[in-house]
Amino acid sequence: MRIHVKLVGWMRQYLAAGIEHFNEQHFELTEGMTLGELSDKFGFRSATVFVAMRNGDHVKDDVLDSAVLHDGDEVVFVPPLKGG
Amino acid sequence: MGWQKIILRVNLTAGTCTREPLNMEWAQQYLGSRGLATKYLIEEIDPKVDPLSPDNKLIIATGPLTGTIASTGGRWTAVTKGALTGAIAASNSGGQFGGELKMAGYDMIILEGRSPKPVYLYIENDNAELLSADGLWGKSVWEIEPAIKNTHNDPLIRIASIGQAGEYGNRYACIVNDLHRAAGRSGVGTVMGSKQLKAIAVRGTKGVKPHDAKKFMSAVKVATDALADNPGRKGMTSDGTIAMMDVTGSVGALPTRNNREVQFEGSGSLNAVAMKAPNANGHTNLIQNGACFSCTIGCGRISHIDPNHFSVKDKPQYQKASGGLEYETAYALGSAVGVGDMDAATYAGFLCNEYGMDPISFGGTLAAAMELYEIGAITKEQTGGVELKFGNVEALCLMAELAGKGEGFGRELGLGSKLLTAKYGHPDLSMAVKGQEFAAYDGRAMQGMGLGYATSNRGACHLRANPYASDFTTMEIKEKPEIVRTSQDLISAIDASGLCLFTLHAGASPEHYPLQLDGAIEGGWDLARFQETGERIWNLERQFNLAAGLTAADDTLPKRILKEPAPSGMAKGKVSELPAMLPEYYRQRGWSVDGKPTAETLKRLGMV
Repeated sequence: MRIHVKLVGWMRQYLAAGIEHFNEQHFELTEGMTLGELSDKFGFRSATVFVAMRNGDHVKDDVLDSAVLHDGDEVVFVPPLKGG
Repeated sequence: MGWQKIILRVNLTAGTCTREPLNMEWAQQYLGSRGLATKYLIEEIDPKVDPLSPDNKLIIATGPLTGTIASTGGRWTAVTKGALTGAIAASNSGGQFGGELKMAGYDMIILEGRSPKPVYLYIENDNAELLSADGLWGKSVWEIEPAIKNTHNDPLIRIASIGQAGEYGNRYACIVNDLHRAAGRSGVGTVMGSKQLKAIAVRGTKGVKPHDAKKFMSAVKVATDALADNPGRKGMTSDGTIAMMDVTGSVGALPTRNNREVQFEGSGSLNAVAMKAPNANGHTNLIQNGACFSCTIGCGRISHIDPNHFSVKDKPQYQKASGGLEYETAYALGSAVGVGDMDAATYAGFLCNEYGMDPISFGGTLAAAMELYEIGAITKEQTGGVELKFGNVEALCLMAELAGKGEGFGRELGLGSKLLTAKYGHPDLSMAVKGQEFAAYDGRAMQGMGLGYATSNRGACHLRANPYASDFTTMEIKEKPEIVRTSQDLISAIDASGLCLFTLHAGASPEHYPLQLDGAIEGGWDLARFQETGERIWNLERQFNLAAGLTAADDTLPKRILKEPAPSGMAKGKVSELPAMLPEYYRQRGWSVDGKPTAETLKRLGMV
């Protein structure tokens, strides 16, 4: 399945070592992958608190592992930005 | 040391400048800058005074870490009774001015009275004098900075000044330093203008000595190293605060069209990506980042406008590099007025710096005016023929100029949204608290920020509480009063220290502030004392406001945020739960149910 991933703010700064920085990109992922697994693929859950949005809806932390992704989903990872 | 232990008192009525020792008992209690200056203000003026009368005072204050090598140690604060709010005003700025003032040998300048004619204050180390501002009055910030440097034949003079907005009484005039940094909020520039003081020009070569140099150097290294590899620091350096645009836009916390909406279709034209991307003409808005005195973050943006853009065509003075958009200006001159045009917002921001007015309050007031226009409460005849509709990019640029100069409908905009909307019969359309316009966060999606706005001593402000991480992850309100209260205290102390609160967002731990203070000043500083000092400052500001006549009724939000559900995003269908949070906030503060610090609280904090 093909998923569109968008990293807003400076979420890219939290990507695990070895993953090239990007702002938005399409990914071919295995069927059945969850939003929690995708977060871990990028190393986010071990790096920071964040907000995950799928198709415009907030997916809360406690249901990330049961949120199965579907072809065409748009996922946005939002970092804990402060100030401005 | 850390403190210079010297105050410069300037009596503008008499035309005198005198030095006096800093009250060190107060300094140990209120630290410096925002805290210590507020202590002096409340001791020296009647809080009920008209902000624009000669009896109000304006205090320009540094903190003990200002002028040192501590990262971000260049902050200074303008403290006075605010012209926009009638409440305590403590407006903080960076740039180079604060460090220079401290190195000239002063912790603060107390400006009192009113000069019979326009003057500027010139300081060169121990020498301070009031000089005639003939030839400067009526000129913009951008005109007088080079003029003063030329007069004294010294390009290293640092200057804080007002533009035409502060001269004519625009209620949200600011004090601009180093051309594009500003003590921006609450109308501190309006107070300076009322005193006929055009500028403060300072040259300092004395340096600042820490109390224990070895301990201080060691502490600074710990604190600076913590910033170096932090993702927040890297992001602020790389993207600037405008990176927030996509965050609030994604979750639905981006005030849009006077908070009628919370997501803006044009935000993609106002974000960090757009700022760095070439437009159709191959022009890129961002030139580079910029840093204030002693700062290792460098969140500032240096921008230039496409010379082909309508706003600057045939205006070469605006085609040069200057301070670019931060998140707040991108909101206020963008989504708030429904304009998604990077160069137009940058131009309007340039005008705010040039004429010396707060872009947040200008944008918030223009947004209110646009809504008044769209509902028919303001007519085209009143706007001078301008279609003052949301999204009108030409109107944004024109009104920024008119509000800066005080001409045409711009003079009405100079009232601020509270007075403007009341004048035209729709006070509910002012998106403000205590008369000060909202910052770039909607209090429905961000419940903690809503509580922070409502309880902020200087009116709606994003720099008084730090509920961001909580607000972006949960709308559950149970923990919000504690998060808001404790962060208000911590930020008060950071402001008083002379450091920038953005260090908090770039990897600093709360312990790093007292660690550095403990090397810089005497007295023994740890986190508990630092946090308590912040709480003392917060209560002192509250005492000022209560004495000025404000009450718990002023700790509220506009009807729109309390009654109209957010139309989209995380908070879709929800309103602010302020009424449920405020009593718990008061209880935790040790205040009565009507928002007054109890005798026990004041005693605990050593304030009685």
